[in-house]
Amino acid sequence: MHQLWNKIFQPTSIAPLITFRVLFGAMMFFSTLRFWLNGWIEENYINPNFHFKFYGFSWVTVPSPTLLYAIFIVTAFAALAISLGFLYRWACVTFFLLFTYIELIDATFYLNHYYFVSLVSFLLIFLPANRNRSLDVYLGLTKRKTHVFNWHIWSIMLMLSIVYFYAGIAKLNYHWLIEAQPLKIWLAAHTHLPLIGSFMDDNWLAYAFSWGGAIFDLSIPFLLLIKKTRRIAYLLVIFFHGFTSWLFPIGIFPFVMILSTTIFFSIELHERIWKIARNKDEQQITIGKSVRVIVRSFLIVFFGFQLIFPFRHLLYPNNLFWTEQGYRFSWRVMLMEKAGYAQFKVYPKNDNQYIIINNADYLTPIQEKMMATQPDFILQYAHYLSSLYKSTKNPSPKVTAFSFVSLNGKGSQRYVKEDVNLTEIENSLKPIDWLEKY
Amino acid sequence: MMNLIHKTRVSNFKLLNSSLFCLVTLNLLLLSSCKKDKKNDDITKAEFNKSILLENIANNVIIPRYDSLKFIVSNFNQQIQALSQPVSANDLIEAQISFKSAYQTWQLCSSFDFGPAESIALKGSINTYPCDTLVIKSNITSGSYNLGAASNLVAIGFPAVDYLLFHNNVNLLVDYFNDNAIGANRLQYLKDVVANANQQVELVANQWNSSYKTTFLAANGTDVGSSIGLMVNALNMDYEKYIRDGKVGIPLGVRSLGIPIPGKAEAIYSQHSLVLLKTSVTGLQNYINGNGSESGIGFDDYLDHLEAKHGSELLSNKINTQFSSVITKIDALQASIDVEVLNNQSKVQELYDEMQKLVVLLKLDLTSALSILITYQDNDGD
Repeated sequence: MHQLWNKIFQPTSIAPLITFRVLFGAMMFFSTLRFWLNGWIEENYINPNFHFKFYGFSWVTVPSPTLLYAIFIVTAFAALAISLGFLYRWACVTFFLLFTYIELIDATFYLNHYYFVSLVSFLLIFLPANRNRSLDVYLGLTKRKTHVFNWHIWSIMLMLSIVYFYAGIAKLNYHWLIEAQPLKIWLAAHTHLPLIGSFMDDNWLAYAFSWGGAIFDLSIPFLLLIKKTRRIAYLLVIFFHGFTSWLFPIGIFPFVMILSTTIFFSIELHERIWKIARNKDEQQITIGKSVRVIVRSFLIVFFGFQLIFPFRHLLYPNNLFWTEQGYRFSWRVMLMEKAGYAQFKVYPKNDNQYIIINNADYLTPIQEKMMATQPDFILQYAHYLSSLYKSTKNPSPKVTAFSFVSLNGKGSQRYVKEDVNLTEIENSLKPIDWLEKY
Repeated sequence: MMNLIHKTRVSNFKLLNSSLFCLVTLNLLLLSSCKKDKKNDDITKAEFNKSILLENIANNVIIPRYDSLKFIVSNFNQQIQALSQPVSANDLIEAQISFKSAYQTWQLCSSFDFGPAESIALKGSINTYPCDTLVIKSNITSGSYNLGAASNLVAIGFPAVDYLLFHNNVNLLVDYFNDNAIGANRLQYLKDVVANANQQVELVANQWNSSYKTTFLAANGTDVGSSIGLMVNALNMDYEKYIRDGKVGIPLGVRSLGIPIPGKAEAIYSQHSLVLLKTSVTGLQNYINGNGSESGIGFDDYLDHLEAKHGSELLSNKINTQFSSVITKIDALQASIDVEVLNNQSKVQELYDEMQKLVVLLKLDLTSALSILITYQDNDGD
């Protein structure tokens, strides 16, 4: 361990970091454009009257449409600037802040890979990825370097490894391994595919994919690290992500992973691509003790958080899939088939007369769908409904829910307890006791 | 002699014939399909595929239903276009009979709001209710109107015809149509509204019989644009928003603190909303089970093939049992919905509660088991 701590300050080639910077920036540029061209800025952020928030971030509000479009333009250009290595550090800071801000506007659209993008762009702020093959060097804004420290590259590798490995750990549960759910349901919907279609509703295939997926996630970081297995590992990466993106609507995530994992390739390969010859003088560079302490503290705090935070669900006595406390920000990717239906009664006058809410009046289809399965959303929405119907006579009208959830093909079960007045329940991190037991 | 009778009563014979045909087809659609021979369509795992399901639903359910709607509406249209002043009470009574069967047949097609129907917004132009009698009256008075305009959605379709053709007192209705000042305009408006409906129905039915059928059969996946995805989304939308809320919930008062709004019920002038409701519910059940003039492969078989369960019970059984519970509650009502929400509110509430349970089974259990995205919004997942 001590040796490893010293090794992180040994110089290595900058080339892998250049590859990563160029690819990551380009992907983010195109995915921001894609988001815009799909009309999602309007659909996801401008059209809804109500936005769901992450715990502790209810202060994040949606800006005016003009400002929002401006933010997307700046985000796209910041991504492009990262890729080109132009005003790199400012570009990283700008991209990280704006991208994260957009994600915080509405928790409906939370995706693990958006979280991954936020984390990586945050890391990039501290990595000197613009020190070669960049506009900054070309314009003389910074000095060209052929070396960086190991930790500069290893931190990206570690981040990627955490995503895979934790996604693998998350799969080690009864549903996934023993029942082959949710894949049994998801694969059976694809019997129309050419060639493999006829196998798609076979049980053995669901088990093979479930176990194969878990083993892939758990082992791929190591297979990519070891030189001997790297080539086959990368082919597996392409196959795995290519196949899942063909079967499921998972957007750009597969491409982010396929391109990001190129950082595991050998230094020589990256150097050949960028035609970077290492300058021998730079191998002697050392670093002051105080800087070492700062870097080490930073790495301990950042990665310590990454390693511990996904396990916070262990603090809750409830079923993780049912209550979802500790579900997000934990690399639980494509892990369950959960669908819900929730209809709300608001009692504006007294506890007998109610109005049944038509969710489409207040939520977009995707918001409604996400709300129906996530307790913190149900609560936020119930509070919102209560506030819409409040009066001086009745400042906090009662709200109850008729709500059902189906988890991994088990059929619909009542979700929110029938008579609970949701207006009286505060959103908190305490274990949820207002849901029926799974 | 025979000839003479035939000649003099030719129009009435035609009417009688078409009305008879209407009833016969309706009965075929409604009754023959209820009994399902389980043995015939118990298929083994290897035999099932989604293309068979699509083919059966297209050929055995959707197209026959549209064809019969087209036939019935077209006859109704001919009958209306043949009217001239002075209109007789008999003319109107005949028209009322044809109208009722046309409105009833429409209920069997309202769940198909995708493809051709969606692209011309058939549902909105055929059955937006309650109609706005003020708009209708002003259209009649002015005599100039564009029935395709969005502002006229509340003044066209079956609800408008329902208003124009029905009144407690038939003689008064006859007088309206024969009125010196406005009678001609009124009759013309009726003709235009029916012709408009006829044209729209014909358009959709013809597309189903030609190009769209190919498109429908080819999209045999389960993704958002697939035929199964479209059907399941549309039938859920229809059931939740138009059948549960529109026909029952809103008149019952679920959006108005429990205070009934009978004026928002369907077919308030002809007073046959109960028949329409039952037709739409049984029609939906038969559609889901893939049953037309003969029983066939439907979503029930697909669910069984996937071994979809609700607790320990087969989901397909659970769904059909819940349909029966809903139908039982409909049968417990006697008058039309607008009357029952005032006189029998608790019984309508019981019906609503049973309908609500079915929403959960269709929107949640069925869609989840088939792995269909219930959303018209495109979005990434992970």
